[in-house]
Amino acid sequence: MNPGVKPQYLKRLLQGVAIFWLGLWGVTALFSAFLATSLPWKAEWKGQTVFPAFSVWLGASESGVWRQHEWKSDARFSEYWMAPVPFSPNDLDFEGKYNFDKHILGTDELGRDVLSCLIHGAGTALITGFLAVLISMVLGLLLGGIAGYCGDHQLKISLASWYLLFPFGFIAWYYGIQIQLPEWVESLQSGYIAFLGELMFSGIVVILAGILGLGLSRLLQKKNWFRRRKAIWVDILILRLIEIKQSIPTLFLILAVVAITEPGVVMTSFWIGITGWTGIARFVRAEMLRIREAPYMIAAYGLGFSERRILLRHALPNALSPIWALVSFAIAGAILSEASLSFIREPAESISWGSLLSAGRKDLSAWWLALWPGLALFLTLFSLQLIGERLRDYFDPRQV
Amino acid sequence: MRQQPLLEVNHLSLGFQEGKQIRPVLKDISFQLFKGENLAIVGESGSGKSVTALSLLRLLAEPPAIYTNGEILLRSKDEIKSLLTLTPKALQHIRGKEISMIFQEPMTSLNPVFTCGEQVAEAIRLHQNVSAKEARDLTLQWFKEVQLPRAEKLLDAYPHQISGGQKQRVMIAMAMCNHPEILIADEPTTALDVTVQKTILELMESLRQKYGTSMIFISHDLGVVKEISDRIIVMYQGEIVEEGTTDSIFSNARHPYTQGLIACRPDPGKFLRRIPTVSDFMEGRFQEGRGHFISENAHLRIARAKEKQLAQPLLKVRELNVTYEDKGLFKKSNIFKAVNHVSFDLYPGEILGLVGESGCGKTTLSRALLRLNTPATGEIIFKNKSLLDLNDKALREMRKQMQLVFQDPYSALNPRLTAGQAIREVLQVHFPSVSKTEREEQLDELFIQTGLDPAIHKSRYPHEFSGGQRQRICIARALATQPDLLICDESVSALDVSVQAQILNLLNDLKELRGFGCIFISHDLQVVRYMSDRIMVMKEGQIVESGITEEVCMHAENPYTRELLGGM
Repeated sequence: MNPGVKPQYLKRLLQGVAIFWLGLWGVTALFSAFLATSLPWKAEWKGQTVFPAFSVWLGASESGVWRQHEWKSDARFSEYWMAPVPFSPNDLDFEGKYNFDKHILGTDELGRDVLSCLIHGAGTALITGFLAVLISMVLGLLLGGIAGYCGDHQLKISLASWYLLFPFGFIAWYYGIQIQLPEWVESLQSGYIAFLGELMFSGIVVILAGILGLGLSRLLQKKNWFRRRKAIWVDILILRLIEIKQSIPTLFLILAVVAITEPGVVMTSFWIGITGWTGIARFVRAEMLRIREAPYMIAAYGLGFSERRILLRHALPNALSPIWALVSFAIAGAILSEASLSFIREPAESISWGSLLSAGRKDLSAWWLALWPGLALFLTLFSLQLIGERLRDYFDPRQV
Repeated sequence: MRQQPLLEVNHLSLGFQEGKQIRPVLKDISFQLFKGENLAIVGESGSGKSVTALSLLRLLAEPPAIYTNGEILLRSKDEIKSLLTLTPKALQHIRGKEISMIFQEPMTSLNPVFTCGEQVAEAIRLHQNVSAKEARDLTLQWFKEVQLPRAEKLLDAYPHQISGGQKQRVMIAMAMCNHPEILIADEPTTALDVTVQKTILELMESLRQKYGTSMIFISHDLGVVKEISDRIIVMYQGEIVEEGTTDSIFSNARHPYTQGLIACRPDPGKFLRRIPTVSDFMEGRFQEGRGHFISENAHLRIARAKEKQLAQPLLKVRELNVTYEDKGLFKKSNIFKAVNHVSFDLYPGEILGLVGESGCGKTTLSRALLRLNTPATGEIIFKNKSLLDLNDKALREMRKQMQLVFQDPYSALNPRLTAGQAIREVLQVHFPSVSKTEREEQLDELFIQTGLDPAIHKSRYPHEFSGGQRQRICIARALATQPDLLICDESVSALDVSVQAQILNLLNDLKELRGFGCIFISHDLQVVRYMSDRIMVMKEGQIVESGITEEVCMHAENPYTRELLGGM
């Protein structure tokens, strides 16, 4: 009874601006190496026309020399094509310190260009946001979906599997995780690829234990008594897991874990993702609980559809539509977590908007150090919220 | 000379703002309400009757509601107040004090965190200068006045602890406690059971006469209105199409819409082969005794029902029990028998009516027949196969042959599938070997048979349909599996009377065309009587009476059946 009171066109316009803003940062992050660099796009080098910015990226043999070269003091500098922001984020320009003529958004006290840092920090923010949310989405959807759809009574396994779950579960845990734990920690310090390798190894151990257990269960089920089925209370289990997770202060957990692991954007995102699934899981669970009771689900059973069809075609799509809106909020949350981490951690190992903000703390009179990264962060998060609203409308068939 | 009207509505027009446009909802409404009168406003959903009621108290949010024209005048204590120009503060003094209102949903109209007594006492203290103690005493008095049992105890009861009928009594107490001049009742009994409905109506009428209150009674149900009102206003698409005394409207309705509204309820006296719908009247198609509108006598109906019982039964139910365990954390667990020793047969091509009030177990029974809920004990034999012994796969195969049509057609459809997709899916699952073009032909045929247009309606989502069309989709979807048994669980209860008539006609046509057996479940005995060959009356999980419809209706033995027949 209350449509059309809000000016819809203004909402649409804002959402359009938000998508544009996010897209702009996406493109910027993609081409940051060329957009903000002290290497010229086109220059003269030993009598030849060269393209240092691009060649270095492709791994040219002169890379080292070019990086060290002071292009700006070159004799033919006026003919060179420089990048739109002719500073690399780590260039120290003591003369140009706090110089707004050369640096549009100013520099920090070491003379590093703020705009260049912003451009190179965008990638960190976006990678963290999307990667972390991808991880927490997979975990949250899976666990929340199972908890909500199966509840405490729907997921049934045979008694054989139930009794074998404990010994083989123990074996999987002991050989797959307990023994491997020191290896994990060690590999974490040497890089995430090594860590993924270790994870894979553990995964294989767990899967092997599972296959063995299932085989044995098949054998046992020859006896009728073992064929009886028992419901597993997955809902309670997963809920307790969520509560345990939520009672640990996440930021400090990540801070502690990241301190002992190899620094890097991907590793940070991984941990933010691993710790961020609970919100999504709760949401999916609640949605599933609601949908499970909906008359159209009963109708689907009544029409003789299979369990799999009902889950995939009737339950999941309805549960997912509100999730899409959540995704953009979750991305915003992950970016904020990363910014907080970089803000707290010192020294920051990669440039991110959070570490820039942190630098602003040292000199309070240099307001621009805090303003620009803060503004970029704020507008990006705000854009994500607006896009979330748009997504929710889009995935709701009731809206056009 | 006639007395001065208490409330006068002159040329009232109202619209809802949608974007930059204003959609008109009320068009030039004028009526008067006199002292001590009971005025009924009748119309279908969307006719503007509720909006009229809400606009009298200025309860609509403004915007989107915009009063485009007209005035509402209230005469109280020899002073005329124009409600449309009053300040919000002055309006508060009128609401509850001079005009009060009762809503349709007693469940949601009471605040769940306060006790019933507190809520009525609050209303008293708001308009009368009394102490808390006095207010409580007055509340108790009113609770006795509305005939609430154990009034002292109910003062401290929370709304969820009392029944729907009792909640509506609390609402009446709340509305009447300040002795209002005018009482507006917006479908006050629609959400209640038939027998409860009757007592509530009697209570309202006696209170109204005792205190000389004028009442505006809003309803879609002409049967209820006929009993209680002095005058009737019929609304259609935001306009008043007819106005007159109750007798004149019922004996001599002039507007075809009113005629249609009166005729489209199945009449227990005559059994037309088809129920005339409002559109039959509006387009002048209806002529009694012509075409489909021939009435049949009861003996013919009884003979036809008996004839159907000669065949082998399609469905045999013996000693069916469904129990729920009410597990308490600290108390002993209670076993509740939702369906208690139910036995019956259903013959092919027959409609078996199942009547009972909410909570009597009729829905549980219908779902137990399809094995859709908790395990039932007993015997269900469908086409010579015992349903309770089937495994999951055989059960899915079996469900194809028995289908369910729900009460609320909107929530029974997946909101993310178009009408075409929803039905096509059923065809794909149950007839996988059929070629694509043939499947589309089947789909189109189902649409046409259920009165939908395949070209337009296939690609629409459920929310783009009206209630009647949605129910048509549900029926088409159920028929897509080519079932031998159709279970209609209150399938027409949520629909407007004229739409209800269309769906009933459709079900009858489809039954003739496809020859399925049908269990028709409803709380509405009048509808069940029209539809079914045989009838079962259910109360508290048990079948208390069953037999051939006309025989049961004419010579009911069970007191409960008689009570239901009395409530018709």
